[in-house]
Order: sequence, then structure tokens, then C-alpha cells
Amino acid sequence: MGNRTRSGETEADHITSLRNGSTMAFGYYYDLFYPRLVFFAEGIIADPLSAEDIVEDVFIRFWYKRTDFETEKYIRSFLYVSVKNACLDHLRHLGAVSRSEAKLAYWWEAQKAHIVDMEEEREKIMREAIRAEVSQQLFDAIEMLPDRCKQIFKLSYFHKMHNRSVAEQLRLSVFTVRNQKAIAMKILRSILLHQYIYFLLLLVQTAKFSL
Amino acid sequence: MDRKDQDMENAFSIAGLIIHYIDGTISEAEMVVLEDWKKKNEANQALFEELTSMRDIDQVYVKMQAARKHGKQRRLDIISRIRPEEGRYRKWGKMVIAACIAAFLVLPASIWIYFNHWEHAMLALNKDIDIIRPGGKKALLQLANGNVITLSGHEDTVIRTGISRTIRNREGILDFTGGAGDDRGTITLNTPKGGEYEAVLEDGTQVWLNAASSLELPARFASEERRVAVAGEVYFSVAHDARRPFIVTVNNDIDIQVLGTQFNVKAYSDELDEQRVTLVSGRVLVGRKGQRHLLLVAGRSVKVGRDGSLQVENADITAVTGWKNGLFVFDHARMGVAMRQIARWYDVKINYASGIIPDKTIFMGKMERQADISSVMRLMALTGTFKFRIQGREVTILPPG
Repeated sequence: MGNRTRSGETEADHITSLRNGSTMAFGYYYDLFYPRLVFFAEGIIADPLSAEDIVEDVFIRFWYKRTDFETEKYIRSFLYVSVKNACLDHLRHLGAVSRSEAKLAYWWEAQKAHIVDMEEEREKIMREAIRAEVSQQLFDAIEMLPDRCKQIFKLSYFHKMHNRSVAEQLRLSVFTVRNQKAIAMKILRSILLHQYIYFLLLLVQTAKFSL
Repeated sequence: MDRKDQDMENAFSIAGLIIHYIDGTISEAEMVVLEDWKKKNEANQALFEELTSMRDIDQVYVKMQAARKHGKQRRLDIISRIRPEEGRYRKWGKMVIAACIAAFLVLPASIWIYFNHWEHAMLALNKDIDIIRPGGKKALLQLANGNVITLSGHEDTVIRTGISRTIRNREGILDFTGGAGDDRGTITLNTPKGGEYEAVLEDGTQVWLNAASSLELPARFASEERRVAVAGEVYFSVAHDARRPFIVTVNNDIDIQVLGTQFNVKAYSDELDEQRVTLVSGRVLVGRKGQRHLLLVAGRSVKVGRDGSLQVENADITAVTGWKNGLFVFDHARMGVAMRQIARWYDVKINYASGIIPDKTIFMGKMERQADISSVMRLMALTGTFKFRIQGREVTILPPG
């Protein structure tokens, strides 16, 4: 995880503001972590609504512990571990409920299929955390792609379209599409690397290609 | 702080390695760690394939987008949970601007033209609108003998109250000038919520009662003074009689002494911070019973504080007497004050959703009181300071967001 922020403040600025009780700083961390934590929680409990409630409660706890954090990494660990524990509690509670309520039973069974034993449970949760972290970074990177690149990227990777179909749909040559795809991947990689200067250079190139 | 969770730290490391793998900067040493993790079990291998091939990137994208959207929707809610006052301050700034725009939009009468434009948009916002009709000529008259008569504006009746005394009720005006009598006791005229009424007293004094108000007067004025008592909001146009001063008692506490003049009294028991006597013309003396009275001149009002203190202020006569002329006139009216007027006139209950502070929004504008409630609310909502929902006879004021 990098130290960059979009508004130019440094990590230390945010941490200090947070300690001083700034809701702006809280909002910054909320925006930064909310989507990936919901993604993570959903991966464990497979219930989107409960996942959001769990994450919301964890953010409330985060606020009350705001003076405990010295680095952003520490914040990330706290948030993930808290969400994990809350999800496990949630599942245990559901398990207890399912014994008395038949309609929830199948739900619990589905969970059990994934979580065979403690070791497998730990592995599974680790994978969900990895999935959430990587997905968040990929998502952020895609969001930052220039419009034309993003369009081509989405058609190619989301809709699994061949270069030819993409070219037809966007009325471009196959050559342009192939180039744009390559550029999109390069930009994606550079964004993932946080190499902004490189990124800007590529943008100039992209503009040329879009003509 | 929860104890450091090594699994989680490992997960972050692996995630970092996968990102490096995708962006092509993974080192050989890092690759060895990643391979070890992949070989640990099939599920790890599958996850690695899934993330690096971008096979399910479309689903990931959609899910992340949804999570981000929901996060934004819940943001204010969470901020208000951790810092209740702050979520509101931020809105306050917007509200001031909105109120200014509102003033600009609402003031001209031509605002009604905007309605057609906004109708659809507003209907979409307020799905279940019941038509709540405005108030009208309605009152209860209690005679000196204790009989209670329901009055409406449609009838023309003569109520005999004594041998040679009648009260005529015609077109929403109660006329007490019909002959002298020898009655004793008190007569009370009450308007309900959603009602208004007019009366002409035996001396020719005209009285207008706004909704939820009352006027109490003797069956016959005494020879040395004319004394009445009021509550709620009442407008007087007092007939001149130099020999008999006209005295209005408000909430058994404040006396207004006049010779011949026009003034408005507002003194609702549910709105003690808004008790005022406003002088339209002439002169009046206002003061608490048994204490020194203030001389009030036209165009000024006296605000009566909760503690009984009197404070003279400049008044906007149009705004104060608007109700009498069939208008809601808001001149820097706080939302709470404006909504209470609406509640009284349409006989509805106003609820405020969390996130709305009625006293932080100021309204400027003029509207017909004869419009139905949703029209009035829609017009006010054009200010962008709130949304509303009408269910039954309850109106809920919701944050604009």
C-alpha cells in the first residue's frame, strides 16, 4: 500500500487529523477502505446486507480507537481483523440460530462446505483478504483509465469481446483496438505501480491514438 | 487494538506480490514466496489464476462499484453516528445558499408557473401524496348560556341570544352588532386547526382569528372599557371610542390597551418564542399586567420573551398580516415557525427526520393559503433544503440528500 493520497496530504497528515478527531480524516479512511472491506466480508458470509452492517459497525469502533493508530498499515490491519472477527461471530450466531430455525439451515450448510475445519477456515479468510486487496487495486486502476481505454478495456475484459468485435462496435480499426488494449494494460500496470509520471506520458500517447 | 493477526499480515504480503506480478515488477525472491503460497493448495492456485487472468474482473468491478456506491450512501449516516453535530454543520452552509436561491425563486407570484415544470420531478420524490385541503371558515361559538354552536362559512343564520339580541353568522363573519342586550357572562369563539373566522364586535371592532385561536369577550362590553382575551393569532381593527379604551389580554398575562388602531397578536401556547404584538396603525400600550407598559408605534412589534421580557422590533407588516389576506408570508421565517403555520392551517402533524434542524433553515416567500398542502410543500421544497413525504395527516420533513 502506497503513501499517496489524491488530495496531496501525506499519510502522516491524515493520521494526525484522525487523532485530533477530524471527521474529514475519518471520511478519507472510510472512502479508502469501505468498498474492499464489504467485498472481504461478503466473501466470508455471502450476505451483502449483513456485510455492509458489519463494516459500518467496524468503522464506528475504528473511530473510537482513532488515537491508537500510527500508520495506515496498522489501520488496514485493524479494519480487516475486526471485520473478520465480526463475520465469524455472525456465522457462529447464524449457526446457533439455524439449529432452531429450519429455513436458515441450508444457508449454514453452504457456509460449512467452505469452512471444513479451522485450518481451512483460516486459509479461506486469507484468500478473501487477498482477493479484496487485489480487487480494490485493480478497480481503482480501471477507474483511472482514460475514457477510450476504459471503454475498450471493459469490452475486452468484461464482455470478453474479441478485438474485431470491439473494433466494429466502436468503429475503430482492429489495429487501434489492439494498440489501445496494450496501452490500457500498460497504464493499468503503471497505475498499480503508482508511477504517475509514466502514467501522464502514456496519457499523451493515448490522446494521439484516439484521434 | 486487536492482537496482531499474522494470517492477515501474510494475506497483505501475498496481495502485494500478486499486484507486483500483474504490474511486472516482481523480483525473483518474491516470485519464490508467491510460488510457495500457490503450491500450498489448489484454492490458492485458483485464486492466483483468477486475479492475474482478469477472468472475473467484470464481476469484481461491478461488486466494487456497488460497494463504493453503498458506502457513499451510508457515509453521512456513519458520520452522524460518530459526530452528530458535524453532519449537520456541513449541510448548514448549503442551506443558506439554498434559502437565498429560494428567496429569489419564491418571492414573485409568477412562481406558480414553475409548478408544471417541477411537478413530475417532485412527484417522483413524493410518491404517496394525499391531497390535504387547506383550512377554511370554521369555528365553534360558545354562548354565555353554555350552548355550543358549530359555525361554517356557507351558512347565513341568526342566533338569538337574548330578548333583544342576536348574533348573525354570514359568510364566515360573525356579527355581534345586532342590537343591545342585557346578557351577562362570556362568549367564546374558537377556531380549530385548519379553521379561520372573522367577527364584528358590538362596537364595530373587526376581529380575524387565524387557525387554532380563540377570542373571549363579554356578552356585553362594560361602560368604562372594552375588554377581550385572546390566544393563538388574532388581528384586530379596533373601532375608535375615546371614552372606552379597548383592552386585549393575551394568555392572561399581557395587556394591550388601545383607543382605535389595527394590530396583530400572535401568542400560540406551542410557540412561546414567537409571541408578538405587531402594530399596523395607531398606537397601543403593551405590557404585563400591573407593570409599566410600552408605547408601540405603527410598523413595530413587541416580542414577548418566555421570561415575560418585552422587546421592541421592526416588523414586516405584510408578513405578519399575510394570513389575514389569505397568504403564507415568510420573511426570514425559520423552518420550524413556517412549518407550525402550515401544521395549523392544514391540520397536519409535522415530523422532522434526523438530519433536519428546523431552526437552521430560513424561508423567504409568499404563497396562497388556498393551495393544497402538497403544492405549498413542493414550492418550499424547491429551495432544495428538504424533501418531504405526506402520509395520512402527517408530513415528514426529510434531508435533501
